[in-house]
Amino acid sequence: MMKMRKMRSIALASALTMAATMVPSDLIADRKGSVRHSSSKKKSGTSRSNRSNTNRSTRPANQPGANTGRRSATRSASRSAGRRGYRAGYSRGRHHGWNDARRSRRRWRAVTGLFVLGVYSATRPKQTTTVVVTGATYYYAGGVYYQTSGSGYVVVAPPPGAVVYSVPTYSTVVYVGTTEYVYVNGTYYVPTTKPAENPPPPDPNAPTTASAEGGGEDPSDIEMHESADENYEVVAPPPGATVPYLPDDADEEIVQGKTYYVFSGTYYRAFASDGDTVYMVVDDPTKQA
Amino acid sequence: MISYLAGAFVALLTASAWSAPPEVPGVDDDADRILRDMGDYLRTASEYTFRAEIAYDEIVEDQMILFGSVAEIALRRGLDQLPDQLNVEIDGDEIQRRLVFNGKTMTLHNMRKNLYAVTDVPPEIDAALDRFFEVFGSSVPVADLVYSDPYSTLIENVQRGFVVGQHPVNGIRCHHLAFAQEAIDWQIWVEVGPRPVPRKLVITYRDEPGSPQYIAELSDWNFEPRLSEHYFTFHPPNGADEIEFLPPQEPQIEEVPQ
Repeated sequence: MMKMRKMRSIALASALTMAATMVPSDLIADRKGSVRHSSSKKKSGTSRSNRSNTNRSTRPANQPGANTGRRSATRSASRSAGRRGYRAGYSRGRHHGWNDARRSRRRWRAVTGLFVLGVYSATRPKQTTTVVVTGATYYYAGGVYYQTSGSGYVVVAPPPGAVVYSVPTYSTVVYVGTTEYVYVNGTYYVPTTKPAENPPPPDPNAPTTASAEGGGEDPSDIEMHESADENYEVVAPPPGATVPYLPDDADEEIVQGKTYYVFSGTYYRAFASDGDTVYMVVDDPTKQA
Repeated sequence: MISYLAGAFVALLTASAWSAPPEVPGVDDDADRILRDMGDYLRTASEYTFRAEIAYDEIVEDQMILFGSVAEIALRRGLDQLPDQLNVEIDGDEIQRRLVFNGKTMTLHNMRKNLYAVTDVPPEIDAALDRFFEVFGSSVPVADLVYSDPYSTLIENVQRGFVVGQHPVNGIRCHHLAFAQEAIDWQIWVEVGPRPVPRKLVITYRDEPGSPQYIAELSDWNFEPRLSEHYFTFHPPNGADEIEFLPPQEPQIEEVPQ
């Protein structure tokens, strides 16, 4: 455990150090195709670089659970690769994070497009863990939370305080100040040492792919990330958090002439940054005096 | 012995005199000259438009995937106290946006989401692009060809360079040049003849996993486009929302000494 912790903090320190001194480069095509920005090592406002650097995605572990230290290890590797890029004057690593996040989102949509809040299903995913939050029982699979409803199950908003063993591999790590959050499609987690129910053992009778079931997607099939020394606790969206995408069912709302995006009661504002549009958690404008 | 030393001295003098123009060590004279001719041609043009067809590698799900975009670029260099101006329209697999620099502000319009953001930038195109890059973390496609002195921009970090040969790009005979700098290799194809424009640019990111490439084919060069002012002015389309560039935030961690 100590080892993993140490590795992470070193990676973080070096990432931020590098970011503080380098101009970020390229995300999408236009950022990449420049010899100048690929190679210049100019100082920039440290603030921007720092902020930019705080957004990146975790790298998928190919075999969730196979190597318990994987999350930290893969992240460190991913960061250092990115920083080498910085050193060489080309900082694709950082933006790769965003690209990954966007692609993660595509994948998320492809896999879980049906799992929007309020959707009802007659059956529970084939492998769920049970999460109890203030007396209420939830069933968790693939980043999706269910509660019983009538004779079936309904997708519900992740309850703050829920502690889970794993998160989907295509989560994005964001920072507010120095606090790390793992962002998954509108939900924010913080790493925690609080206990969580372990995932159920693999069911030998379970179909190997979702398609083998011959209907409906199953969030149990989503690739998950886990760590030996941490679990993940759902927290309220922290104001100031900046994320690369919002869930599909986020709504647009105009308050006092300004456009906000609202998901599950949280208000966001759009900004141009990192070569794309990003969304920042803001205070509820309807509650301001 | 003395004559040997003298000979060496003369050879040294000769060598230094011979390399008197600020050529880059490690870059062949021919490669340097061709690149410089190209840079001068673009640098001294008062306005030009061109089209870039771009393909670039990205690793998705542990597999190398090729994405593409097409960019239409129009540049007017500041003359007679007029400012530099730039208009870029990009239509790609991942992005669809327009970038307008009117000499005072840079406007970025995300056409897919119909959101736009405006930021004040310096009037010179180089400073404007750099500033935009700082604010947004992105630049225009093949930005190297838009800066005021493309040769200097391109050669700045080059460590080695040579002429590969004369090879055609889409049927046009070109000088094929290869350059290497830290972490990246790049190649450029420059049209042979009186109009030495770049016809292709390939960047290989040597240090990245899988050595991904960025490939831009450049066409439709027009040095007399006679563009109207309207072209360099942004009028928000119907329903467009203005957003801000993400404001800078406080640094989170002090620099750690190496």
